[in-house]
Amino acid sequence: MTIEDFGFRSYGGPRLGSFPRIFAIASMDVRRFFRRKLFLIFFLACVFPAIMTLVFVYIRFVVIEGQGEIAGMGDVRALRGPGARLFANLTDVATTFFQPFLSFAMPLAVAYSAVVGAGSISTDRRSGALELYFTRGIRPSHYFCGKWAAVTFMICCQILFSYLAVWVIAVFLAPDWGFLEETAGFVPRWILAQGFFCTSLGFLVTALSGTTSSPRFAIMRWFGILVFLYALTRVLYRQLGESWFFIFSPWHDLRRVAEAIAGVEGVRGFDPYLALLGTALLFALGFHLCRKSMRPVEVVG
Amino acid sequence: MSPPLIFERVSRWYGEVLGVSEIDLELEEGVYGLLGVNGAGKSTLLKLAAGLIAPSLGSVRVLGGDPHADPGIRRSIGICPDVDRFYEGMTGFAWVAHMARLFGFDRREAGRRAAAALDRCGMAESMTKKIGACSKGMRQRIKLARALVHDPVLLLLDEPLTGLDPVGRDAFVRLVRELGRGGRVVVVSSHVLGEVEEMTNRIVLIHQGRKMASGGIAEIRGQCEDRPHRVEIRCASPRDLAREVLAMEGIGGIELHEGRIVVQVLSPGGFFESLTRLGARGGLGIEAVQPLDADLEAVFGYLVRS
Amino acid sequence: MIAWIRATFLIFTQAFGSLLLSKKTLFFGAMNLGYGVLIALLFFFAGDRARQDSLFAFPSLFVFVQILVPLTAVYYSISAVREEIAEKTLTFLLTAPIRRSSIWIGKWAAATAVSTLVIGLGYLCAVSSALFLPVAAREGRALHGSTSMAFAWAVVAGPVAYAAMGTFLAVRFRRAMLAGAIFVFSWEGFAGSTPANSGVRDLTVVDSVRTLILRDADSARRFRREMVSWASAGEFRPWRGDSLEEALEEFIPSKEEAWKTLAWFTGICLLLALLSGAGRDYETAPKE
Repeated sequence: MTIEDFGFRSYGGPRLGSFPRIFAIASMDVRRFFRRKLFLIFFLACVFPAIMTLVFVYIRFVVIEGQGEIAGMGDVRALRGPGARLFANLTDVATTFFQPFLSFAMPLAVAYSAVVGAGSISTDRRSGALELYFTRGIRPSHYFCGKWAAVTFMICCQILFSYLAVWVIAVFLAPDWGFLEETAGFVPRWILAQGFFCTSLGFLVTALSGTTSSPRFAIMRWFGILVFLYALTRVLYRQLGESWFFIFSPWHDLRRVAEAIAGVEGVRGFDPYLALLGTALLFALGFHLCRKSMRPVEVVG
Repeated sequence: MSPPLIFERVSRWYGEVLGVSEIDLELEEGVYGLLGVNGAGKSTLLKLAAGLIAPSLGSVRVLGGDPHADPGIRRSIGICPDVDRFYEGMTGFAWVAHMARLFGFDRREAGRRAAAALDRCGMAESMTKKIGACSKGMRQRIKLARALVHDPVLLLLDEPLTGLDPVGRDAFVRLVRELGRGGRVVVVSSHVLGEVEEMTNRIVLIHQGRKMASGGIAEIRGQCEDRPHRVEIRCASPRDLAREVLAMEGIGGIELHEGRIVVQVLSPGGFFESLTRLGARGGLGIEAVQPLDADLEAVFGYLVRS
Repeated sequence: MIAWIRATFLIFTQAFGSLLLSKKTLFFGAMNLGYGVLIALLFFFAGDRARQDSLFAFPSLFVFVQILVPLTAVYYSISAVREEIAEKTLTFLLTAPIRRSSIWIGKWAAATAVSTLVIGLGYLCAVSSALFLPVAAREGRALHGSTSMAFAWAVVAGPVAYAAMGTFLAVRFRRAMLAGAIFVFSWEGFAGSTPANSGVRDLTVVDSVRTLILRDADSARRFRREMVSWASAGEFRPWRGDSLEEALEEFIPSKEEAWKTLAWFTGICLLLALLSGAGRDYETAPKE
């Protein structure tokens, strides 16, 4: 007499390939984020620079260029005082479009990436979901790529997609195609640069999340490493005048490489190739940490 | 003297979610099984009794005091919650001793009590092992030792048999019975009915946040008047016996099987008297009489599923 | 009262041990040692050409006082409380016959002690590397005693207040770590940079710590000048012959005022923690 186990039926049909598996993990994470009200409020706060840019774009194209001058104020270029200077500067593409981005959106991305990325793997590790994933035919590499893709997409929503949307609106708000012609050469490079920035930031925060089972610790590590190394290298640069110290700051590395891709002049003479080397080292470290911390089987007891 | 644990019209909400609603309950010394399906409100009731949460309405009294407001009352309460997290870096002994010190014992007495409690829970040999390296069963025993270390009057056990091996379960069931005989109130929450039935025949049944029934299993079964009792009788000639039984009063129906009959009885008192007389008369070869739905599982099913 | 002190001490000892022996001590220890390495590098490469203000005072203010001290203390304090809540081990403490105030105060004291130790380690490394590195310093010695001792206030006073804030956030908010990060990196930076006469600075810890440092760092004159100029929002102009001592009295609070502000800040944070944690339900939702 034999006892048959009817609890399990092997599946003989076709299975998903690597990409759909990665996509499934990523889409699940993204959907989970956008379902939370609290996250949506935070997201709106983080895309505030883009909203501000939209206001600037409106003032420039509709109020200033659309009418030639602000009603009752005369020619804005001839105005005096700080407020007038702001309006006058809005005729410059860099001030209108890219300055709020560089000054506000990119630094905000640090806080934003901590919220979307710090818990991506650590929460699963804490709840024991990693074992479930890895015993269901999902490789650690698929899992990591899925999480990375989700975090990257979320960061792109904050700094890349929101600005692309503003740019498209600006193109159609402008009284003629001048704005499109003016920015056509720059925007593809800028998209590439931001794509690099988002992908790298997403990779680093996801890798960091994989090293701990506490989302809180991951958040603090992220802030700690980024801000501390930023301050440390700035102090070294200021006191010793050597820009190569920035290689130790992930923030400076990523920003400098992005600036180089976009063709923007980098500040403080930090060599972009050195920044690229720093970024490559960061990626190598991230890969190493992930390999070490995410094994297919975790033995307990 | 009032009972050690009293719930007076206790309700508790979690935002818009109802935890328990208008519970009235008085528990005397002994072991009680707190039963209910998942989400019924068992853990909420235990947390209220332990003073972990305050009732939204009504009052909870342990030995006459409010366990939520008065920390002193908690000296008389031992709880074994359904959590599997500890201070992983400590040894079982160090943790239980530390907890004993929080209950007011000095270092030496806390150590002595911790060792005794761990020994009682079958952890004498592994008490110096770090909790992080302990198996689930061991962790469960450590948790139980922590609940017993200060010798509480009210012992609240939330799913205590989870993770225990068969030997551990047997030992644990014996321990609970022994504790119940020692003048304590022991409340064991579970949704595994067999476990509870082994420990006690007194139950409190919670369903959708309300108390559905409380008391002895047989007593509760007796009150399910709309449900006929099913009695199995094994005998040599089932047909003859069926004929005799059909002549009795209060019979709802009979199922004939090979070597046995199953009778649906509407009034069990009269039926068992008549059956005894029938057996004494002889000739039908009655071998065994067994009620089929007087156990906890049947009672639970009748009450909850209806 | 004795029972309360005893329970608080027991919570303190347990939390102190588990915080000190956790992985985070490695992380924060490494960061604080990084500060020591920074000072060592500065003294090693530029010890012969720069003043101690540039080599020690400014870097210590930006890296140590404004980042490391708050980050370490706030993290430890939030972690001490929040991890117990997340792991549900708080249940074991809440069912013990002790007051909740014992738990919160014990955790705060443990976080303060551990962060002081970790921060103190970084500070000792920085000071000793500045004192003992063989450099030909401009002023005859690498670091003046009063400057190095002034920064010890950050080690002594900072963690007490920051940990109190962290404890309050942890007791009150589910997303305490994010609130803590916003407090450290946004509020402290923004409010601490407002002009001294705005009064907003009093709502920060960093200003009181900076005041204690400024009042004692007699030998770091350039550092004091710039900090006073910053606090005065440009009203103090040393190149016009304005007296530093007078400006110091006018724009920078006294040491007593700084201690008072720190005491108020710590007291209010702890009081808020006790009030908001007194009846709070940490069991949030029914488990079943």
